[in-house]
Amino acid sequence: MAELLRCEKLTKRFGNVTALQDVDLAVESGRIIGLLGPNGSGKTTLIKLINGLLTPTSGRVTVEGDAPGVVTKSKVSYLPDNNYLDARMTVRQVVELFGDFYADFDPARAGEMLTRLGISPDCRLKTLSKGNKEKVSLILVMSRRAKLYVLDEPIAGVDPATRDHIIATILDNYDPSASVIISTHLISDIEQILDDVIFIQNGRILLHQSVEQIRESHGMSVDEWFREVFKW
Amino acid sequence: MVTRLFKYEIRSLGRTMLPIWGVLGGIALLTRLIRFFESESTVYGVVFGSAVVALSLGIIAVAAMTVVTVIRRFYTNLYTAEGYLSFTLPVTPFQHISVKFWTAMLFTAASAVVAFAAFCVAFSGELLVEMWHVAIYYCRQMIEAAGPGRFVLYAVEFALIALCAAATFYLLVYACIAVGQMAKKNKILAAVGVYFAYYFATQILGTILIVFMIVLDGSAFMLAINDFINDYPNAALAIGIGYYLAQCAIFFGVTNVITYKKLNLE
Repeated sequence: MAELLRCEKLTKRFGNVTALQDVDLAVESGRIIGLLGPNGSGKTTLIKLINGLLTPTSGRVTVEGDAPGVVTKSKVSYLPDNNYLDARMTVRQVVELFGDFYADFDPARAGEMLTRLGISPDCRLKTLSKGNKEKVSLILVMSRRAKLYVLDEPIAGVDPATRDHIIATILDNYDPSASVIISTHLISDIEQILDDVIFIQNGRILLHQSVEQIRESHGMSVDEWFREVFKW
Repeated sequence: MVTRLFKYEIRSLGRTMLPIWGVLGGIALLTRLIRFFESESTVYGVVFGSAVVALSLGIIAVAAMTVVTVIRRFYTNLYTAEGYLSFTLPVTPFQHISVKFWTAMLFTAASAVVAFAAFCVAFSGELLVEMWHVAIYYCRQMIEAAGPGRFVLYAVEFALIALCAAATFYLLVYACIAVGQMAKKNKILAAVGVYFAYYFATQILGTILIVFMIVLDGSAFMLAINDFINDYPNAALAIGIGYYLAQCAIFFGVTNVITYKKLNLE
């Protein structure tokens, strides 16, 4: 399996606060990885650095050997943890936007998923419920044939049924040769789909192991091991 | 990619500006309609006067809304949640800033054309012909004073100065927003602070420079500048354009470097 993502001594400080400290990480293709950690552990900062939305204080991050830039942005499909689409646009317009800018975007696939959900392409985003907005965002991101999907808290703040739908959408649509990084603290909901997990706390990587290894070596599920590691 | 960026930029600004232009057009048409009932009566005077006031306010509103819309679009599309999409599109910050700038200039020019067209519609007919005659009379006087060849040069230079002034203003605001977004919180307030700090710093530096030159050789320096402007007005205007362009390059560079190296989408 080829190496897709690499972080070397990656550090990010905001003033006096260190959000990430000397993170070394390598992610291979074809894996679904859970980026797990409590609130404020540095998950979103790491994701933003991978996507070039923040610049590292020191160290470097590369996707297939390239630093974040035009080349990596055409390979990485990113779902932020907030509403990032212009609410005045219609669903049809955002689908068109993704199709215009991403060569790997499949509008037919997006249309199919939207139809299945009963979301009209002529709806303005501001008229959609929170759950439907998140579904539209996920559909856009998963309709790309990207090499790396980076999903920041895709199942936070939605009801269990929507959560299941989101997980099914991820599984049904990602290219098996690609990798998916899913940041969350709702581990039990996604544990069954993960190949690897990364535990992060106070900006440091505590653990990067396969789910199998965790189960074998600790005799417990990832969720139980997470609770053990991050016990107050 | 640049063409596609232009498409979405024009669509977004158009979504706000088209209705505003439409309202101004409506006021202009209404003013013209009122003029069909022209009479000496007080009622006509009041109604027509109100329409002219509404038209004037409409033109001011179009100018203000153009500036606000353009700046707001730059800020929200790049440095708020929308930036998560903008900066994950496979385009460079240079392309983003360039497209936003040229679209801003396009909409500013379009607003000027719409305002002028609204004025022409409202006062079309004999009144407009009269105004046109007055304008031609003053133009002739200026041509006679400047000489026919130089008048064209003046016209071109004044048009360029106006464009450069608008460009400098937008790029200064872009640079201030780019600096402001680096703040941990209150990013808009930080941008406004940077704008005023820059404004006061340049005023103070300019004053210090003038005082320094006066102290150095009395009023000779100021008189020399005055003489140069009077003797070579076209050259003075060209220097003014060059000064604006230099500022544009600096502000654009600052915005671009900060967005490349110090993007802070916290």
